[in-house]
Amino acid sequence: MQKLFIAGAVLLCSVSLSADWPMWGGAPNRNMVSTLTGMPSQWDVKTGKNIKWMAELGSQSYGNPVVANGVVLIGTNNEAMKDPKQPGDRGVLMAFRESDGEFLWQATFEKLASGRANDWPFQGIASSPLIIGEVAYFTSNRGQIVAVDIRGFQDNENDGPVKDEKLTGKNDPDIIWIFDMMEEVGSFPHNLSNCSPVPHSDLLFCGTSNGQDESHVNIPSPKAPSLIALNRTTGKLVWEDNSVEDRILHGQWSAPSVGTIGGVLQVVHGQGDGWIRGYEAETGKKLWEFDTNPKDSVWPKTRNELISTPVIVDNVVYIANGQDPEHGEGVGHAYAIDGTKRGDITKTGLIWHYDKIRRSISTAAVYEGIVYMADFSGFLHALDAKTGKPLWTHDLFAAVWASPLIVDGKLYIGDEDGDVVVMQPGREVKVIAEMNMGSSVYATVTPANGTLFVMNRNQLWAIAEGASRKTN
Amino acid sequence: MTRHAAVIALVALFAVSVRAQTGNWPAFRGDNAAGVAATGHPPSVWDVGSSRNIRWKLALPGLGHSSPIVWGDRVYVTAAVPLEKTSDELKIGDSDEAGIDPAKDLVRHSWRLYAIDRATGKVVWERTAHEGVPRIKRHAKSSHASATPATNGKVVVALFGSEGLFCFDANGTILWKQDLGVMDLGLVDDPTYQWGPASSPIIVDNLAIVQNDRHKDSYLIAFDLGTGKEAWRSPRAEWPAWSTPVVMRAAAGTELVTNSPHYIRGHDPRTGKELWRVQDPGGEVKVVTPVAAEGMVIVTGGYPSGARPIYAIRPGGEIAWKADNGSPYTPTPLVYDGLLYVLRDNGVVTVYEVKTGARIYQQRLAVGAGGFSASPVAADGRVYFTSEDGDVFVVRAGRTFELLARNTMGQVCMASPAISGDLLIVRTRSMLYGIGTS
Repeated sequence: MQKLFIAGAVLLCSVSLSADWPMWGGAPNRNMVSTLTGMPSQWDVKTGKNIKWMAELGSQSYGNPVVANGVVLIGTNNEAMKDPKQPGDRGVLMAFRESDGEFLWQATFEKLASGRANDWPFQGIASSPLIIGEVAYFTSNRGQIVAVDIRGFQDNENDGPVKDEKLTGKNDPDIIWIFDMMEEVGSFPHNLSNCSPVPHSDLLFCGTSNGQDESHVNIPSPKAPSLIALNRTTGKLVWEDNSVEDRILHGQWSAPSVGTIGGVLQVVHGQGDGWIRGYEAETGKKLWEFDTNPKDSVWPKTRNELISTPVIVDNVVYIANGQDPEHGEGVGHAYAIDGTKRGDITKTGLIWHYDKIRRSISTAAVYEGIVYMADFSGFLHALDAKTGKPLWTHDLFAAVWASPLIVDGKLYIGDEDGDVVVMQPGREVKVIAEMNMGSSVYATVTPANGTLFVMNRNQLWAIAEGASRKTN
Repeated sequence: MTRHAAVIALVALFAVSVRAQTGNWPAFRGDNAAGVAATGHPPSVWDVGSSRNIRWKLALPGLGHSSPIVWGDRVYVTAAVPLEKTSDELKIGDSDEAGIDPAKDLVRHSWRLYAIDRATGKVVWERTAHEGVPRIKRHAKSSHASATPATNGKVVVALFGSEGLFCFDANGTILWKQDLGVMDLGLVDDPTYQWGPASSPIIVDNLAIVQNDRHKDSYLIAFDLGTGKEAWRSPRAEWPAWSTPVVMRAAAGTELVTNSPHYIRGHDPRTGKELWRVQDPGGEVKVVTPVAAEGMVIVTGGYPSGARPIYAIRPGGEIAWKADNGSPYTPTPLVYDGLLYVLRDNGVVTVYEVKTGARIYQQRLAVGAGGFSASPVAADGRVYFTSEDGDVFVVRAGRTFELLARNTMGQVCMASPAISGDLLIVRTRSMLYGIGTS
């Protein structure tokens, strides 16, 4: 049956044995689905079964792994200090060799002097980088968008315009350019800048994380944009948008998505007032906006912000709302939105609304007519993509920060207990296996080239069928 | 009654109680923090609205997350009562934003001990231990009276945090007091975030023992109950902890076990000498109290909780078994009839065989039940789980899950309930309920 299913899948969709996962969500539309095959359903971190390699990270890691051109990049903190000359609490981007997990280089960023208001201690880099060719783009804990050479200085070249790096050793970063969002567009990130950039041709789109100050009342920079577009070659600002103004409920931590909707290439972004907005990618012209909260909802009890990333599939935008994990559990809302409509499309663009989800910070996986969404209370929901009708829920019993990932006809999702559950996607619940990773799994499972990359709080595991890691 | 006579009466009562132990719930989670009333038989169903099975209720002033304790016909409760108008904010985990900010209520407070008649719920006496502005802020989810008092029937020992340790006699006379300095507890990496203490004092033989793990100069300390003099002190390099020490009785002797961020330690309760330590990597925030059972002690806690292990440790620090994950963050687990009930802050209950650590079942008490801070208690084949939203879930003890009742208190509940004979005593945000068949 399993074989038949795989054979069927091969006929139905284009599958591949090798493919990179160069950004959050794998592709600009951010759908958490990969066409790769040959992924393991089971492994054991204790015996090393199906474990290719493991790399030790800092004590907290939120920048999800991305994989391209033989390099794995993750965001973590500096508690696994690789260079004694760069001590103390810092945000750290680490690069590892995809084949064997060897540490290649790192970029570290001192904490902002303004402290936890803008740069929360020990959170590290929480942006998932974007790799295009030999360049990676990510957001540092200092509110900068940074472009680096994925080979560091190990290619014996110093790529510019930035050429005056002080650290130029073999483990140091070759910075190409830096765009400081706090300096250039006046953003005041609430607690942490975390955006995972998304590309379209020469453009790079990124949220600013602009938000409240520590009073949770004031918005110091109501005129700063929520969303910006940069030229990714020069690192210069192309357009910006501030539709939210002073209506930010808290912070802004959602990553934008890019896709063609109704024939128009759009950037779609969940913003700090709980609205999601669609823009013409080239110009930044606002096309539509949709309120994800019921009108009678009240922050913070029932009104939510948007932390999940929008997913664009077949002209439809899927997203769930929620709150900062520090706020705990509560009611949530999930939507399918018709992004071909224009203006305030809260009513006209509503395809369906599902209100049985709890607060969610997870991004959807849309696969074979079913939307899979997880919530922070620990439930995975399977909804009919057309109607939003619930097919089933599965209780993971622990908070879920990660998103479901579907690859090789299997769904993988990790939780705060450190368990990764493997399920069979479909109209009925079917659990295949559950493995513990030894520490909370906040990251989404990353598939690339026959390997699953599973990051827990402080380790990165590369998992592949038939691999075996010696344990001591 | 003369004072002399009262003392004699109390001594007589004490003698009886020591033999029978019926109805006494002498400290945080009763006898040695076990949470079990061996001969208790409180109801499983009640209704606050219609007063069904509500034997009495008492309005309590101020705020206190400390649990009620019981000895004989007295119930003892502590509270911190603001004397000026102030923010009485209390944020709970689920339905609101608890965050990490301290509450803004540094105004004059009165720290009080109430002695209440167990049968009627009437206040017999109340005593003010101290008045003043709190020396440290509290977490917006906490209180200035979070430590549960302890009694041996002769004295009641109440720890009012930075305001001091007070020993009362059964009439409420302060016999002695000790200043433990500022109990400065808060966010490990930023001491400007003050959260305040919660570890409860315990009584072991003639000693009152306090675990004072804070930002600097942490120690475990014992005072002579009779004189209030320091009997011993065991300094340690530890971070803030909110856990209460417990006693593990073993053939080789009695060990005092503490749960702190870096180490789980065993001490000789007579001398304070450290006997063993088990390193707990990544322990960070330890709130949960260890549970002694079946010749072992079950130790949990830390942040983030779900991925934290559960240790079963034998005397001498030998690990009997370890579960890789499943620890709670706040509620202390319960061992009852050979099963370990671990209530997580999200309302998920996991039951293990205490001897082996084998998992029996896992069940969410209810979807959207809110957060859980109070610890479960058990009696008469039933386990009582209390949510922050004020629901008491009554579950049949055993290897399969069966929800018997969900009783709504109608107020936030942070304190762990007490069981005394046929009475369940539940503290809500501003009330104390005696729940028993009418």
